[in-house]
Amino acid sequence: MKRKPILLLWLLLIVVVLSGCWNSKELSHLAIVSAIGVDKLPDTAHYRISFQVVNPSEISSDVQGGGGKTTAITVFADNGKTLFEVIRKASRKAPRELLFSHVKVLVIGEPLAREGITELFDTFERLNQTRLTTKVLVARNATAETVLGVVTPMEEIPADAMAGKLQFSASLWSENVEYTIDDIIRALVSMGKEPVISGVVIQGEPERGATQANVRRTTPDATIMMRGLAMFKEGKMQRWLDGVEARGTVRLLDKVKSSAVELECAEEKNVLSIELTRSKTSKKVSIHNGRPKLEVSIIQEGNLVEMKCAIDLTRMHELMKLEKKWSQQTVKDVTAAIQAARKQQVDIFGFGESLNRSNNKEWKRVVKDWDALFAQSEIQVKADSFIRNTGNRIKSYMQQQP
Amino acid sequence: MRFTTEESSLQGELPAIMEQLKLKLGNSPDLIMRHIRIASSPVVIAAVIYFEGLIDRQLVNDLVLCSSLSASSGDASPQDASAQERAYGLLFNHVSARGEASVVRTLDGVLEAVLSGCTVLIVDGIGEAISCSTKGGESRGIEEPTTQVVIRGPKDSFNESLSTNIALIRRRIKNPDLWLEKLKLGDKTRTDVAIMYMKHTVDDGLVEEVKRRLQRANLSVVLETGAIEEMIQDQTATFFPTIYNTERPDVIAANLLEGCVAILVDGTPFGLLAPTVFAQFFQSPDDYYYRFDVGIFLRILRYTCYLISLLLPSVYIAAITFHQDMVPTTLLISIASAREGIPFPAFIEAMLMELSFEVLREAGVRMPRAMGQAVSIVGALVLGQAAVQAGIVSTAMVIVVSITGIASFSTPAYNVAIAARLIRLFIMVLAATLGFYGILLGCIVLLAHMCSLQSFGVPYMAPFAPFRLIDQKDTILRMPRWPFIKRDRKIYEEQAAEPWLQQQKRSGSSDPAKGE
Repeated sequence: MKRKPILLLWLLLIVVVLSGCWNSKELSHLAIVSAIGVDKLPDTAHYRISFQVVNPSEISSDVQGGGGKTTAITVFADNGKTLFEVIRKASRKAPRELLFSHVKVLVIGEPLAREGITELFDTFERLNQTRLTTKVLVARNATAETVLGVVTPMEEIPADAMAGKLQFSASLWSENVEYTIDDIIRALVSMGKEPVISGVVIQGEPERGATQANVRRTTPDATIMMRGLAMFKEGKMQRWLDGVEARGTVRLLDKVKSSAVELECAEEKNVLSIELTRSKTSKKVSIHNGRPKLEVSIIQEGNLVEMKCAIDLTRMHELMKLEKKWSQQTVKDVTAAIQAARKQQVDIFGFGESLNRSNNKEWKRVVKDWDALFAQSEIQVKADSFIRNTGNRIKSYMQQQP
Repeated sequence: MRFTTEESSLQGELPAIMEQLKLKLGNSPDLIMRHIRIASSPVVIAAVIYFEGLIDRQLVNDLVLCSSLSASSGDASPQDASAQERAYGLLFNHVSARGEASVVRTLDGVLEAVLSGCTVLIVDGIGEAISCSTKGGESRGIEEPTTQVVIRGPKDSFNESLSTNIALIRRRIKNPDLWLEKLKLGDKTRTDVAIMYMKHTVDDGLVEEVKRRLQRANLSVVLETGAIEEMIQDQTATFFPTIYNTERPDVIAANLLEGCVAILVDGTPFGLLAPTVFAQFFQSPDDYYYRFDVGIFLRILRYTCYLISLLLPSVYIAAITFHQDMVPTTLLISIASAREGIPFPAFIEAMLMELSFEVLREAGVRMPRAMGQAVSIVGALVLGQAAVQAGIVSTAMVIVVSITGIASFSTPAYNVAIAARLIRLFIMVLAATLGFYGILLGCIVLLAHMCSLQSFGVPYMAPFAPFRLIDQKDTILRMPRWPFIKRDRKIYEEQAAEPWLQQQKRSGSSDPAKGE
């Protein structure tokens, strides 16, 4: 009986110690990193890594904090051969320990992207704080460091602003894709798919964007904007896809949620606008005589929301004409995207993967020179469009005039 | 009786006995002794002894009047008896016809009777005395309960008079099965204690056990049920109450009908109920008076609030000192900004606020009524406003502590809420040293401890552990009544063998919603 309490005490001690849980960190000793930027120093093997750190007292809605003394964020940057080295080096500049659990965005500088990003993500998978759900962007015509430094209106933390812009432009405009570190790593290791990463540009004067004055104006001097898709081949960036090509790419990736589509009116130069509400892309790949045949079929639905010309929408065949026109335009977009990718011999759409899924044996045979085969592939794009709704009116007020 | 070691009899002259009594009671001026003549030829003197304030004056006066008239009213005792014996016999007949009366043969017996509010009549030269129950005196009226308030339901509560309290229960259960046993506890206080139970519902062993424990308790002072509760509970090394207490007669009645034993003590409005289970402390009489869906909602709310009052500060500490990654970014930043410039670690801050809240709460209870307002204003200002502005605590912590405080008030039973308050502090220490892991360890230990508790042999966590599905209908949930009715009828059907009932059983529906 006497041994029982001692045994219990031992058990308690073991339970407490064995877990290895001893990592108490006071919030006031932590700096919350909201975004990480990675650049390459020219002509060296060194990275320049910048951390966008939140200044909590500036964000506060508290009376006592006041705010307005400093910016909502501060960017600390340092050079080093590995990401982790820089994280630790940054302690020389940052007064607190960096906390990486809340990193929203990872921005990669364009020069680094062109040199290759394959080895960049390893530490993100290893460290326990970093998250693979962090969104990835490529800074276009700018270093990641300058992008991180731009102060943004509405969202006090620029990383939140970037994440918000990426999210809403991807779901409302559909020229971007919201890809996370996890998605990029998957695309990098896949043989049948290459990654695309959304681009971010600074519109205006980057120098003035880094001061608080930027958000004191109704039209900021510098604005961060999502633009284009960076196309990668074997981890190296090849070119930017913009406009029609970007749109077609997002279609082929089947990431379109909603968008605005412009169609020309039948005879006149005027246009009408369609709100894309649903789009479904299916891809089929087969090999005929050693040459891949890519079949893409798209089903799309939308509402007519704006019309600057006189079409009699009460007549069924007019609507069907519009639907046909819309289908043709979509086919054009998608074909343009495939052409652009074929030119670079990069399968960014995952045709290889769908072949792998549907015909594994065939895929194993062609996997080695898939890029070259992809470039010579036969393309067949088909689109079915449906205009479901014409809004609260049928005839435009312009048609009613005598 | 332990007033004296030797029993002294009532033999002897009346004045000598009176003198002895006075001596024993230290000449207390509230001991009233009146002399009356109960027979005139020859003269027989009787003494009427009582404590002023313990008796009903009207009853005593009646008694005195009828005593003095008794001699002339007839002849009940044998002719060969002495005048004194004859007078005594007549007196006894008269008195026992008027009310409860008994014979006392010792001086100590007289003392005990007088002290418990009886009036004692001693006839000169008889060697025994008549004790008449004339209990009365001032007592508080039946008022609304102050600790267990309900919106809907009976508004009466116990008061300090045992007979009133018993009557309140009897009035609710008009059933011969409602049995009552009375005993006196406390060597010094000789307090009346009543044990009530439903004879054929309760387990006989339980009644025996309650009585055995009460006897064994060997108390010298019983001023409140708390003293009894402490001495008869199963385990003492716990924060949790294992005996239920209430000032509501409807709660006692309901539990008696479920087979519990009630213990009522003279001089306190709080009665005890044994055995009890943890779930009972979350039942409010309202639950049964509202619709069942409302009852279920309120029950779930109470359990949630109990968890909040137990864990919220710990979860807050653990989340912001160990698991910053689990807090949503926006929330983390606003907590961080609120904590900018706070000189203390989160744990110290939490302890500071918790303790000042406890101080406020205690002061609020102890303060004279008139000053309660002042305390709450100062408390609200000091805790809510000034402390935050001075940068001693953060706004987030104020919110956490206030939610915890309010949640702890939503438990219907005060004593189980106090248990949560105490345990909370321990879990906070665990959270500050080990994070969520510590909270989890604390909860496991707590749960194991709760499962080890018993109340008069009933597992404290029943019907959760051991799990009994059939009993779940009145724990976290309060299921509608018709399943209860069904169960009762089943017992009835088994007992009754009348053919008409059998017939009805075959054709009748079991669902009262369909109408019967």
